[in-house]
Amino acid sequence: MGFVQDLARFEFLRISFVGGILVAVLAAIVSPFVVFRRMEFIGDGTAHATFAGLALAFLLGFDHRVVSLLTAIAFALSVSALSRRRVSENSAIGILLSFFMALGMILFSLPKRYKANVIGFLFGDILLVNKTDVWMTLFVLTFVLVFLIAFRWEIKYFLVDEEMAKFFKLKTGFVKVFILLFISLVVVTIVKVVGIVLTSAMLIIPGMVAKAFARGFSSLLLVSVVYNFVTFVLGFYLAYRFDLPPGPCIVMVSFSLFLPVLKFL
Amino acid sequence: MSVIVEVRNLRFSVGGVDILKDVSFDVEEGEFVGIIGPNGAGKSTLVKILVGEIKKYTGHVRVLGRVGYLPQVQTSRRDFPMKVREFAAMGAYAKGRKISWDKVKETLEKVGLSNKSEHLIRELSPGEFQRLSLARAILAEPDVLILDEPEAGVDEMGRARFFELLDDLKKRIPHLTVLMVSHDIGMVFQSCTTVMCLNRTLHCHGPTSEIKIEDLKKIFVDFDLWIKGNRHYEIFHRK
Ligand SMILES: Nc1ncnc2c1ncn2[C@@H]1O[C@H](COP(=O)(O)OP(=O)(O)OP(=O)(O)O)[C@@H](O)[C@H]1O
Ligand SMILES: [Mg+2]
Repeated sequence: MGFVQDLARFEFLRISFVGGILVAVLAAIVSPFVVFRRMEFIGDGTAHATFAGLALAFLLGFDHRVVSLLTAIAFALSVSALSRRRVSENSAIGILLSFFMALGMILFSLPKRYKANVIGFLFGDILLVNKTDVWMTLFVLTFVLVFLIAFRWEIKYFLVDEEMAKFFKLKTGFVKVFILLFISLVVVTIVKVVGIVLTSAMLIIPGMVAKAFARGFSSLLLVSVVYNFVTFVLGFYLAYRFDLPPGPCIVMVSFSLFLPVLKFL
Repeated sequence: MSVIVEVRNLRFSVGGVDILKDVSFDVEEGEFVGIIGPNGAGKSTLVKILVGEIKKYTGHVRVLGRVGYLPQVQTSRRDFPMKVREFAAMGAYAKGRKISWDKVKETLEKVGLSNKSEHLIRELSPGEFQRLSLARAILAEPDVLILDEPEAGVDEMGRARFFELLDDLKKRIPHLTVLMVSHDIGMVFQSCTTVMCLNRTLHCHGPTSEIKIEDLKKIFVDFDLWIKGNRHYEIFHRK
């Protein structure tokens, strides 16, 4: 009851609520890609890669959003460049994750005007989400949707049978790079909400749930989106109600609801 | 008739071992070629070279026109939620980014899957999935259809249907060229116009009626054992 009134009353609460929903929806849209490409690791990888970006941003005094986005893209492109027939995407991600994290730690250790809150970035803080973040998320969301609609067949065929899609000369390379880019864009936005460490939950669980119930590409996306939406709202509310950190609450809810779904997988 | 597949002095080796050596042949438009040989003979390797999947060979290989392909090893993710008819339409979509669902329906009927077109691909049995893959290859409307063991996992009636379908397809599209790797030697001798016996190199190649038992003995060590209790014995007995 008080929740709705507080939402109306406090702008910061409203912004984190709306921003969080957008991020949850965005994560849900890329989640099936993460699951079907068996890149469960990529969320973790990209999130850790942004750590290097953050370190660099603080060291040079640049805007951390822009730099972490660029690092995430650099990470995605490196994954795409490194992976091949006998180097799976997961192996490439694992190798590059350590590299980027190591780079970040070295940069952070350089004794300069570094005073930032590392913990805040490792675990995220949804209450720090501001209007710019909301607009950025909305922009990314539109971008992703347009791509999904325009190339839905290429994407479907790429996901269901990459080798034959390649044989039929469908634009697999293009789709592959774009999927990686989207995942990095999305991870950068999720990190802000749940932090580096918890990103995986928002990126993997909805896709797994959708995989269990979907009977087509559209329903795959729909189930995933509904799941993340519900778990976000529930988790956010619980955090508000019991004065707990929102990110972990969302992950808790998502994980709890996932357990019964396991029966269908 | 014009040559549609041309292979000259093809050689492919991995780590110094020749997997294919001195392979030369022509396939003319409209031929129905059966490629036979024991396991490990290099049949799939040859097919992969023809469809462009393997590129590091030496020699000259040229395939003219559109190719339809049914690989021996399925690379698809069966757990992806996709309808049977959508999967079949892949080759058709690749042609011009649009799909004629009537044609898809017609082709699914031909492979005996019309009642499953709205099912998900994960709901098909491996044999049914093989039929679907054949439908996909046909729907690409190829000039050259390359099939690597299309009958694998398909029941006997289904096999008969496959070969019937290929015969029918050949009748409707006389210029269609088919290259088919198969272990069903009886069927190959019944349906194909040309037979190639391959074991690392081409041991015999010619019109089906000119292939001799001696040729087959050369590539199959256990040929005598096989022929003893075989239902297709008559096919060879005639000669
Ligand atoms: N990438 C590779 N590296 C090493 N050896 C290979 C490779 N690919 C194929 N071979 C070898 O080449 C030989 C021919 O393989 P291929 O798959 O072409 O046989 P096949 O005639 O299709 O057999 P089957 O009837 O079992 O399908 C085999 O002995 C195999 O071990
Ligand atoms: Mg083979």
